[in-house]
Amino acid sequence: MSDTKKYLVGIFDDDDVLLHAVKDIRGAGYEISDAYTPFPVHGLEHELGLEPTRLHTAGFFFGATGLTVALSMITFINKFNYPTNVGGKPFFGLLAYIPIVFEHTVLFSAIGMTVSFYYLCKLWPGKKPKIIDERTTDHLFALTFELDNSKTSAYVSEVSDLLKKEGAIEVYQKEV
Amino acid sequence: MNTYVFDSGTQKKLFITFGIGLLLLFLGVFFFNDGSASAEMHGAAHEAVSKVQEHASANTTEAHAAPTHEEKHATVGLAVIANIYNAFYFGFYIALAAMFFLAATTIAWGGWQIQIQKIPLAMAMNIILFLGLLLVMFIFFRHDIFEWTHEYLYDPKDPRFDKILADKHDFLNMGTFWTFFVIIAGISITLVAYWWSTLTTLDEQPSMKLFSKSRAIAAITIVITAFVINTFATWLWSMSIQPHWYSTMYTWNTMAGAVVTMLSLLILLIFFLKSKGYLPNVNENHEHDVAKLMFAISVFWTYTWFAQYMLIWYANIPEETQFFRVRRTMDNYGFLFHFTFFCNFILPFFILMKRGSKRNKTAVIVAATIIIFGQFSWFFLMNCPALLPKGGFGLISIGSLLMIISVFIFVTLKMLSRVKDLASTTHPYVKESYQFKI
Repeated sequence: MSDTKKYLVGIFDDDDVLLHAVKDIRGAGYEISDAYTPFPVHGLEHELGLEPTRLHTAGFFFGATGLTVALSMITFINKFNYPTNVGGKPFFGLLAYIPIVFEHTVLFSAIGMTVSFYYLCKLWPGKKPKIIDERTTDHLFALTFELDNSKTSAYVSEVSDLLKKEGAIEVYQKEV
Repeated sequence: MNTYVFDSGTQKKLFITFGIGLLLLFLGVFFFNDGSASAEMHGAAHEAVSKVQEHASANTTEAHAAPTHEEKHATVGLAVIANIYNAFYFGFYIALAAMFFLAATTIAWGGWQIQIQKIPLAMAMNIILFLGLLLVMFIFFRHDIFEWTHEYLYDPKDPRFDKILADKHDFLNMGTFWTFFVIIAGISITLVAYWWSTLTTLDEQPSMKLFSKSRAIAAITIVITAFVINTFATWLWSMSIQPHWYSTMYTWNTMAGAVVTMLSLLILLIFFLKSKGYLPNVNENHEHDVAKLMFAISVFWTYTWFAQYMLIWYANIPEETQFFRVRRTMDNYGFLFHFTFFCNFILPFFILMKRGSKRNKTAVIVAATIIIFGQFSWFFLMNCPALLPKGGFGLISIGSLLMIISVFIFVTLKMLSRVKDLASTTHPYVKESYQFKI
C-alpha cells in the first residue's frame, strides 16, 4: 500500500532511560517522529519539544459559536417569531435566557473540542489502528524515526548506534 | 529566614494606610451629603404629599418639613455606623474564609499549600478580633443597625406595629440573637485556637498522628462553618438588616465572596513575603494554584449572585424584589450595583482566564486588588442600603475599607511573626509542596 511509512524503531524498557535518550538524541540533532508509551510519562512532551495544545483556543471559539447561536435563536423566537407573554416579563428577557445560553455554550465547546480532538489524533469510528509495536500497550516504550527516501543507510546506522548506546533493548525497522 | 520579622517599616506603612483611611472617613463626614442635592426633583413631590397630609392632620406636617440640622446629624452618624459595621462584618468573613480554606485543603489531602498555610492560619486569627468588634457594635448600636430590635414593632396596640415582623418574632428576637452570637463566637474561637495550636505543634513535633487528627477536625470545621457559623451569621447579622426580605442564596453568596476576597488577600501577602525574601520555595506553580482558585470562586460567586437575582426577577414577588429595587433601580446605588458585577466577574474572568496571566505577577495583583474592592462594594450593597436609602458609597466607605484592611493585615503579620516555622518545613507533606508543578 502506498500510504505506509517506514520507521526505525527503538524499544526501551524504562521510562527514565527513555527520557534521557530523548534528550540526548534530540541534542545530537536527530528528529524523533513520535514516542509510544504504555502510560503517560511526566515531562516527555517537554523533552520531545511538542508545542502546547491549541485545543482550548478551539474550545473558546466553539463556545462563542454556541453562545451566539443560542442567544440569536432564543431572541428570534421569543421576540420576533412567536412572542409569548410569560408572567408579564419582557419578550427580550435576557436574564431568563442566560441559563440556557450558558448550557448551550458548554455543549458546543464540549462537543466541538471532542470532535477536534479526534480529528487531530486522526481517530474515527472504524479506523484501523497502526501499531508500531504491540508491547508498547503493555510494558515497553518505543521511539520512532521516520525513514523516507532522503535518509541514507549511514543515517540509519548512526541512529541505531545512538539508540543502542542510550540503552535501547531492541532496534529494528518496520513499515506500517 | 524561616521566621517572619515584622519590621518597623511595614508597620509604619500599615499605620499610614490606617491614617489615610481615618482621614478619608473624617472627610466623608465633613462633606457628607444625604442626597438632598440630588433629590431636589423629589422635593416638589415631597411638598405635594405634605400639603395633602396637612389637610388630613395639622400635626403631621412637622415631620415632613425639610431635614433639620439634628436629622442630618443623625444621618451622618448612621452612615458612619453602617459603614463601620459593614467593614467589621467583612473582616470577620475574610477571617472565617481563611479558616475554611485551611480545613478544605487539609481534608482534600492537599500538599501544595503546605508552605503557605501559615498565612491563612494567621488570617484566621482575626476571627477573635472581629468578633470582639462586632460584639461592641451589637451592644451599643443594635437599635441603629437592626430595625427588628425595637420592641414597639411587636405591640399590636402601637401604630408602628408590624404584622410580618411579629410573625417572624419567634426567630428574630434578642434571645435568639445572643444565643447564636455565643454559639458562633464559642465555636469559631475554639476551632481557630485548635488550628493554631495544631499547626504550630506540627512545626515542633511533626507526627502523622497529629496530622490525621487535624483532618478529622477539618471535616468538623467545614460542616460547622457551613451550617452553623455561616448560615446564622448571615441571617442574623446581615440579612436581618432588611428584616422583611429573605433569600436562600444569600448565605452562599456571602461565603463565596468572602472566600474569593480571602484568596486575593492571600496571594497579595504571598507576593509581599516573597519580595521580602521569605518563602524561598514558593514559586509560580503555587501562585498559579491560588490564582486558579480565585478565578474559579469568582465564577462561583457570580453563579450564586446571578441565581439570586434571576430567581427574584422571575418570581416577581414584591416582598422579594424590594431588595433589588433599592439596590439596582434607584439612582444612589444603581451604578454601584453594576460596578460590583463588573469588578467581581467580568474583569477577573477575562484577566485571569489564560494560563499565562495566572502565572503573571502583575496581572494577578491587578485582579486581586479589583476583587477585594469589588467584594467590599458588594458587602456594602448587602448591608448598607437598607440603612442609608439616600446616601451612597463614598469616602466613608473607602476610608473604612482602608482601615479594616490595614488592621486585618497588621494582625495577620503580627500573628505570622509569632510562627516559628513560616514555611512549615517539618510538615509530613512538605515535600509534595516543594515538588509541586503544574
